[in-house]
Amino acid sequence: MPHEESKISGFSEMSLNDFNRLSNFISSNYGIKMPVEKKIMLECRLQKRMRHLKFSSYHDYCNFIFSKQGLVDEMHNMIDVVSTNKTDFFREQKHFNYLNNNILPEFIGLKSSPKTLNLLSAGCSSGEEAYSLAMILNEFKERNPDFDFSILGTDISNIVLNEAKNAIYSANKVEIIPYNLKKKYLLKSKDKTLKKVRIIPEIRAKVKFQRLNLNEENYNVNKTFDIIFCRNTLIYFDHIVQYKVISKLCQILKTGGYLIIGHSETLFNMKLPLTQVSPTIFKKYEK
Amino acid sequence: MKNIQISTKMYICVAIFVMIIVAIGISNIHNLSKVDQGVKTMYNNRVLPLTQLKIVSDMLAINVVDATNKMNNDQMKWREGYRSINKALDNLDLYWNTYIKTSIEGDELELKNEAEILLNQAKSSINELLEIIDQKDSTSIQQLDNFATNKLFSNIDPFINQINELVNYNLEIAENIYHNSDEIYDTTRRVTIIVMIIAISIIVIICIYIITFISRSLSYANSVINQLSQGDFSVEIKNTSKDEIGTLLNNIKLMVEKLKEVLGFVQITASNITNASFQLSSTAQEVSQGSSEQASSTEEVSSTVEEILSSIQQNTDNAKETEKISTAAAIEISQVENSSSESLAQIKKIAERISIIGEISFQTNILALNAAVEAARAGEHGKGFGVVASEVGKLAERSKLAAIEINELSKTSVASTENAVTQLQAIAPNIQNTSNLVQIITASSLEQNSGAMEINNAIQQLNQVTQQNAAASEELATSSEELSSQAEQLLEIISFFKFNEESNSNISKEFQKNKKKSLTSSHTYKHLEKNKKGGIDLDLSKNENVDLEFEKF
Amino acid sequence: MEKTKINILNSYLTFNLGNETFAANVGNVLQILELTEITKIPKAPPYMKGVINLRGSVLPVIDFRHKFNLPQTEYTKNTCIIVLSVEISDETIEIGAIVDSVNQVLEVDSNEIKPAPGIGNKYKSDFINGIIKINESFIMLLDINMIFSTDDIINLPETQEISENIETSK
Repeated sequence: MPHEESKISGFSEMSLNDFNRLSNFISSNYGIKMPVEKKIMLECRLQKRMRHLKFSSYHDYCNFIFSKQGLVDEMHNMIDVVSTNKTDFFREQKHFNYLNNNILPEFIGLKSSPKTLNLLSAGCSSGEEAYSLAMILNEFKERNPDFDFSILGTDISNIVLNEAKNAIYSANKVEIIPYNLKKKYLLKSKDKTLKKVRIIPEIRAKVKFQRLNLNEENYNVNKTFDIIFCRNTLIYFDHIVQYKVISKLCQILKTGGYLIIGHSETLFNMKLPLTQVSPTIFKKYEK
Repeated sequence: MKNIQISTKMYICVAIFVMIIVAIGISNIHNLSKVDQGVKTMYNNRVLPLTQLKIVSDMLAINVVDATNKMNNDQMKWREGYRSINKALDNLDLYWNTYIKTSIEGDELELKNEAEILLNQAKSSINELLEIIDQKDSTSIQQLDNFATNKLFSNIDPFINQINELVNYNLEIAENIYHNSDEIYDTTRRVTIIVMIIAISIIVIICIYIITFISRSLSYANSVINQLSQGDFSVEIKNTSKDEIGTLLNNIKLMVEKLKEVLGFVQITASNITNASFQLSSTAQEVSQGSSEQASSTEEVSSTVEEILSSIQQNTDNAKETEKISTAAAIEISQVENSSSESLAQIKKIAERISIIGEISFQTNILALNAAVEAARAGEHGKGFGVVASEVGKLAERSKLAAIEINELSKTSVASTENAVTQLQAIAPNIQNTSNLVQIITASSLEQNSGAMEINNAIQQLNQVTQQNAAASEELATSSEELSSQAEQLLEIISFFKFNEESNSNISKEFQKNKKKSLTSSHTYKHLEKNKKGGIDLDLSKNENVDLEFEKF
Repeated sequence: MEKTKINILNSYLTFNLGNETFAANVGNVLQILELTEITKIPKAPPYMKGVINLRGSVLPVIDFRHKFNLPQTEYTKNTCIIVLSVEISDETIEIGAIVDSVNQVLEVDSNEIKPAPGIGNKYKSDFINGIIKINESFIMLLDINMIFSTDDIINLPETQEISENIETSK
C-alpha cells in the first residue's frame, strides 16, 4: 500500500519504481548489493538525508538525487549513509597474530634493506583497522630498525574517511586495545566528560586516507602493496563484483604478497593467482 | 574319464607304480635271498669247512711235520716241539670237530667218514711222536727222523689226502652253487629289466596322460585367470568336468559373476557419488553465498544497533538533563511560590496601609467638606477658610487618588502575582509529570539499551555462526572436490575392467559431463559496462590544532 | 440664621445617590459624617434607618434612597451621613440622610440654574429646585425642606422620643 504512512517515521512507503531505480544505480556504480529484501533498510538509511534536506517523500528525494544538481551535491552523501561502516579496533585478532608471527618475519628475511612495507586497507571505514595495523607495524619497527612501513586506507564514504583522518574515537571503542598500546599510541581528551581518545600524530603520519570506489574500472592508486586487507567489504557485493574486485586487488598486490579477507568471506571457485596459507589468508604466487 | 578326480587318478597311478615296484622288489628280494642263501651255504658249508680242513691239514702238514723236521734239524728244542705238536693236535681236534658239526651230507659224508678213520690213524701216529719227543733225552734226532719218515708221514699223508678230497668236494659243490647263483642272477636280471621296461612304459604312459590332462586343465584355468587378471571379465568359462580343476573353474566362474555384480554396483555407486559431490559442491557454494549475505546483513544490523545504542545514550543523557532541569524548575517554582506568597502578604500589608490612607483621605475629605460647608455658611467671612478647605479637599482628593492608584497597582500586582503563581502551580503538576515521564523514559531507555545489547549479543553469536558456516562451507567445498576426484579415480580404476564395450564409455561420459557442469557454474561472469567516474576528492584539512584538546594517557 | 439668608446662599454640597448627583444648599447642611453604626428603631417606618449619637444627642437617620424610590444597596466606605437642618412646620430639626457619597461644595451661579423638567417625574419634582450642568453631567438641586415636608416626617418627634429612651437606657 503505497499511501500508508509509517506511524514512526511519518514518511509513506517508497514505491517499487523508486526503489529499483536507486538499487540499480547503487549496485552498478558501487557494486553494493541492494536486493528487494533490503528495501526497508534503504528507506531507513535515506530518512537521515531526507530529514536533513526536508524532503517529505521518497519520490521527491529520488528525483532530486538523479537531478543534475543532486548528482553533484547529494549523491556522495547518499552513498555515505547507504554504505555500512561497521568496524572495530583489532577485529579478528587471528589476522594480526599471523601478521606478527609469519608475514613480518618473512618480509624482514627476504628483502634487502631498506625494507619498507606497503599495506593497503581496502574498505577501511573510520580507520580503526588501519590504525590497529599501524600500531602493530610500529611495534615491529621498534624491534627491527631496518624496517619501515606505510599504510593507505581507502573507502567509498567521505564521512567516515574524515573521521578516520581526525582519528578521534569514543573511549568505549578502544577498550579492546591492550593497555600498553593504549598508553603508547593514544591521547585522551582533557575534558573528562567527553570520554574521547585520539591517535598520536606520529602514527597518524604513517597512515594516509583516500577515497576509492572498489567498483571502478581502474583504481587511482599508483603503487603495489605487500599486504592488502580487504575484510568484510566483499560481503556487500554480489559474486560477480567480488571476483572483479579481488582480481583488481591482485593486480596491485606484489608477487609473494598477502591478501587477507574477512572471516565469513570465501574465494572458493575463483581462478586467481592465490594460494591459501591459512583460512582467509592468501599469498600471491608467480603465474 | 573326465569325472574321475585327478587325485584318484594319481592314486591309481601311484598304486600301480607301487605294485610294480613291490612286485619287482619282492621277486628280487626273493632271488637275492636265494642267492644269499646260496652264498651263506657256500660260506658255512663250503668256505668255512675249507678253512677248517685247511687248518687241519696245516696242523698236520705244517705244525707236526714241520716241527718234526725242525727237531730233526735241531732247529727246534724238544720241549718247544712237544708243545707245538701238542698244540697242533688240540687245534686239529678243535677244527675237525667244528668241521664235523657243519652240515655234511651225501657224498661228503662218505668222504668224511673215511677221513675220520684216517684221522684216527694220523692222531695215533702223532701221539706216538709225542711219546717219542717226550723221551727227548733218550731219543735222538735219528730216531725221530726214522719215526717221522717211516710211520708219521705215512699215517698223516692219507689223511691229508682225504682232506684234499673233502676240499675238492667242497670246491665242487661251491662251484655248483656259484653256477646256480649265476643263473639266478641272469634270470633275475633279465626278468627285472623286462619288467622294469614294461613298468616304466606303463607308468610313463599313464603319467604322461595324467600330466597332460592336468596341465591342459590348469593351463585353461590359467588362461582364464590371466584374462581376468587383465581385467577382461567378458571371458566365458567352458567347463564340463567335475574334477578339482573343474570345480576350480566353476568357482572362478562364480567369482567372476560375483565380481561383475560388485563392480557393476561400484560403477553405479561411483556415478552416484559423482552426482552427489556435484550437488555438494553447488550446495557449498550456496551456503557460502548465504553466509556472505548473512555476514553483510549482520553487519548492517550491527551498525544500526550501534546507532540505536548511541541514540539511546543521547536519550538517557537528555532525560537526565531534563530531570535536572525539571527538578530545578520545581525548586524554583516552590521558591517563587514562597516569595510570591511573601510578596502577596506584603502587598496585602501595603493594601491595608493604603486603605488606611484611603480612610484618612476620606475622612480628610469629609472634614474638608465640612469646612467648606461651614465656610459657605459663613458667607463672605468664610471665603478664606473656604479656600483652605478646598485646598485641603484637593489634597485629600489627591491622596485618595494616589491611594486608589496604589490600590489599583497593588491589585494588578496581586493579580499578576497570583496569576503567575497560578500559572506556575498549573505547571507544577506538569513538571511532576515531566519528572515522571523522564523516569519512564530513563527506564525504557535502560530496557532499550539492554534490548539493544541483547541484539548485539545475538549478532555476535550470529557472526560466529556465519563464520562457522563460511568455514564449514569451504571445508564442504574442499571435501566435495576431494570426493569428486576420488570418484573419478574409482571410475578410472574400474574402467580397467571391461564388461562389455558400451557400459564403460557411458559411465565415463557421464562423469565428464558432471565435472564440466560443476566447473562452469563458477565461471559465468558477464562483462560489465564501463562505469563513469564519479566521486569527490577529499580536502585535506589541517587538524593538528585539534591535538591540543588531548593529552597523554 | 434667618430663613431668607439661607436661601440666598449659592453654595451647594453635591452628593450621589445611585447614578444621579444631587446637591443640597449648604444652608441646610450642618455636617458631613462618616457612616457609623446606626441603632435601629423598632416599628420605624421603612425610610427610617435608625438613630445615631451625634454630640450627645440623638439624630434620626433616614435613607435618602428610599425617598427617591431607589432600591436599597450595600453601604460602602464612601457612604456618608449628611446632617441636614430641615425646617418643618416652623420647627428646625436635624436629620441625618444616608447618601452613597459626597463630592464637593460648589458655588453655583444663579443664572446657570435651570428649571426642573416637568415631564416623566422620576422623583417628585417638588423636591427639585433646579438643575445645573457641570461638566456634561446634570446635578439636581434639592429643596431639602420640601423633601421632608411630608407625612413621613410627622411621626418624627415620636420617633425621636423613642430613640431618646433607647439611648438613655443604653
